Amino acid sequence: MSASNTPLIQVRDVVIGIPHKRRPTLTIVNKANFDINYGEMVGIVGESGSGKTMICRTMIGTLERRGGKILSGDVLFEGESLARASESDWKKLRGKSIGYVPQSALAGPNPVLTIEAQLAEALRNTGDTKNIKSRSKELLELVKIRRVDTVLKQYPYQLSGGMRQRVMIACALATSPKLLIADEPTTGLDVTVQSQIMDLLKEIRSTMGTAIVLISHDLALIDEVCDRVVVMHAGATVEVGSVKELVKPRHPYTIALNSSRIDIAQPGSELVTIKGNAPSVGEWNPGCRFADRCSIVQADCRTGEHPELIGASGTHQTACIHTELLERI
Amino acid sequence: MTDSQQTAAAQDAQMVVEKDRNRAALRKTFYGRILRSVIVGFWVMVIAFSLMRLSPGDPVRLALGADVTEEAVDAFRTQLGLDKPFYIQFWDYFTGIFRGDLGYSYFSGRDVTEIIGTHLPVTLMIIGLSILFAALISLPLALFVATSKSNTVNYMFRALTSVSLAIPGFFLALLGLLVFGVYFNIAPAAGYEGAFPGNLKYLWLPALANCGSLVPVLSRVLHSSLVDTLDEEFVETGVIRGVRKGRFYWSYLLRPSLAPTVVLLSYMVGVMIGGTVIMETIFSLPGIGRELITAVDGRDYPVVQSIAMIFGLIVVFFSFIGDLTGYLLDRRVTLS
Amino acid sequence: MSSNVETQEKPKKRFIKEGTFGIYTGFFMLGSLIVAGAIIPRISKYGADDLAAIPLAPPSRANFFGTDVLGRDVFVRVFDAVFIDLGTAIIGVSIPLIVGTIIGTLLGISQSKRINAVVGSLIDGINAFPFLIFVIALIAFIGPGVGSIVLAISLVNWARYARIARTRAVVVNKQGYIEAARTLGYSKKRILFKHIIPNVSSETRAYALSDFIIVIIAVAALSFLGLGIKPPQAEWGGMIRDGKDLLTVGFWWPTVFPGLALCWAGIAVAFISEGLTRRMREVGTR
Repeated sequence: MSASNTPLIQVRDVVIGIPHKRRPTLTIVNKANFDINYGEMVGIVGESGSGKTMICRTMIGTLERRGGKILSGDVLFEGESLARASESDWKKLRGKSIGYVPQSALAGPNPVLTIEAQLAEALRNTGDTKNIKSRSKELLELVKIRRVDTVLKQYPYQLSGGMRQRVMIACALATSPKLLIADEPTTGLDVTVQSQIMDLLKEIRSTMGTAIVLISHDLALIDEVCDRVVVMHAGATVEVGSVKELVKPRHPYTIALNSSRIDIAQPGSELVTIKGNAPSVGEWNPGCRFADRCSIVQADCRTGEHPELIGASGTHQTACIHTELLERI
Repeated sequence: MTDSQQTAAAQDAQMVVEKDRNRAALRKTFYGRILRSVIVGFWVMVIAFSLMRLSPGDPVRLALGADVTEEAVDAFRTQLGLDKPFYIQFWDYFTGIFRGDLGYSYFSGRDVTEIIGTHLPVTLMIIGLSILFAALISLPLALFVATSKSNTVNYMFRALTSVSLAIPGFFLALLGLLVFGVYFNIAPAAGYEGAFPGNLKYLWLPALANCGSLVPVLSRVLHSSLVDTLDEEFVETGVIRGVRKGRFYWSYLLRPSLAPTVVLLSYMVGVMIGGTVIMETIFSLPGIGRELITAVDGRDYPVVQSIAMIFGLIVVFFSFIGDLTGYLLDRRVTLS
Repeated sequence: MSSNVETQEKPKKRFIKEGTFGIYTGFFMLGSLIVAGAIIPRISKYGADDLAAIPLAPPSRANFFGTDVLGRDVFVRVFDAVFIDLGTAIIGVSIPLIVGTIIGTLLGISQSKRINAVVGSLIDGINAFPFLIFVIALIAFIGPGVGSIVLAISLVNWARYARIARTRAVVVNKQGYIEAARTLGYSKKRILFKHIIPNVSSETRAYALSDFIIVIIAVAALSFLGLGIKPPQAEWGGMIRDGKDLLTVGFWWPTVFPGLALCWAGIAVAFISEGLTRRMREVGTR
């Protein structure tokens, strides 16, 4: 582990937009701030369109090919700027220091290549091209796949969703990365498989010391496996804190997320849903972007810019300027 | 560890089941597809056989002309077996196909099987060459447009493909003749010589003109599946894995996108055959299509009927091969 | 810095719908061809069959497109052919469209497995034949001429429409509103003609547009092969056939101008078809 105190990842005021030739640039992420430390498991939670996937794309360098652009701010990996990283820098980073597990297990692996070919690609990426076969087997065993020899010769369509996601994790681990990004890795998998995958991720973290970013819209899932949580809403981080700290949320959006959870709802009580829809990209009002959906909204919430996170990095931070009113909810 | 052992056991069971299911499904779709091809092939023969009955007059009399005696007509009819009942005629015709006996030309008296045997290779060669040219043009074109972010390129591609769809092959061939045959003088306007590499000199321009109807369709389908593929998540993993450029284009873009194009290509064989008939007429090539036109002009019914049937069977065969190849290229495709 | 990004304008609503340009261009091209076809043969000094000047006179002020091998004015003949070419193609598309849609729809909603298997494989059998080959073979047996062309094309082409209609009808027949109409006790005939066929035909009509291009080329190709519309009737395919042997010796105009007219008609329909497809897709994504 790094001796210095720099966090592994620092997201600093990053503004991400989608430029368009004839129309004005659409800003998708603005005022996102958080850190990820070595060996830590961090969950990023938010509704679809909250910008969580965009942030993760900046960390794996696939933002530009999806039409996005960092307009200002930066994401630092071990203190190095990712916003200014050149394609050759990315060649060193992607798949080596940073591993990625894609969203959909069904569409993640290349359908026309055998598992062996895909693992070999990932392994060659380390620069060490010796013993690819035996190392592939080790990787599959690491993600708890049995009958390794059979699986190596198979195509993704021959595997179940859970198995495919294990293979994707194996590929991401091929280069022993310092950071593993898993973007909703259990979408479309059933609940038992989902918990197996989560257990696997936890185990990888503890045995290999890999920092893991888990992106999800499911707060319950994140509570279960992560150390810290980053809550995102409409392109901004609204609350950052440890899982324990977030038991007592300090932002109305997190409170709303918590109360809409099925797993902790009181039997007999009505399930609370969050009022309204998240504001669409490009339709952000001035002031706090949660104002229209907030039950404790004040006049000064609707002026100026979206509030910054209050509190030092590493502590329980919130972007709500009226935390004193939170008890009313 | 009990937990993970359980998981592993469940995995094993699941894998065995999946494997069996895959094999069984593959076998089932494969035999089903063969059965369908056989049924459609049967219909092709029935339809080709029925063509003769569509003729408003008596085909024998029409073929022999006006000034023949009644006895001669009857004799000819008996010789052809046309005096027998309908179902026996069909049975003779049907079994004849499997014995390689397609009857005789009314005029030259030549064996129809022999006519087809000598002229089919030229036609197949033009078709093969057309497909090769079409692939050589469509593949880079579709790849370029799909990976280009420029709106203008995409717009031009759409406009040009839709314009070129409307240009008839025979007009394109004549323009080609004007440009390459007359102006540059690098293509012969007519003539042919038999052996393989030598005949390319006569075949390249007809094939190029013939692929004009294939390129827009092919490149469009390939383009749209490439665009779909580019949106797929595994492309992202390929980028992240830092796959070398050549391998990336082939394994991550083209191969996953190729299946619909291959299937479509096999369906386009029919269109290619139609185009070839015209090209053979324009360039005076000794293919089966020119035989067809000659036979139509001369009301040589057995030849027309058999050539139509052979072309129908070729299409049935190729659509089977195309479906199968598409499936083997990409197992996400289901056999229709 | 960040404020100016945040106070961005909403994207301007586009008032011009997707595909409009293509549709208007297409209709303009087609309309101008029809108008020219109606007017030019009437006001021209020469008739389509008149000997206007010396044979093979190049394009000039007197004969815009030159004259053909018999000395007939190519300009007049090109426009004289508009109605026969467009008309044959329109009828050759309409009959299979109507027949194929009805047969395919009935097949799609039919409960009988046996009828579906037999007629379905017959349709596949007809579709297996290359379009042009089958039409040529039919013409061999029923003889050349405008009527024969339309008949031959219809006999082949209905099966392509029937296949599309059948697939679509199976889907439509299962839709909620059809069930609802049945529950309301509407007669079978009414459900078929008011509810099912309009929904099925939206798909076959869309195919008819792209099919029009295939058919108009086929009509000209048949005449080009000497199996279609008989001379002296001016017809694009026939004119190209008459001029093709002169092409290589330098007389390009008797061939190129009718060819361009044919392309013009095809491109017009291609633009309309492309525009409508794009518009439909846009409506679909909303």
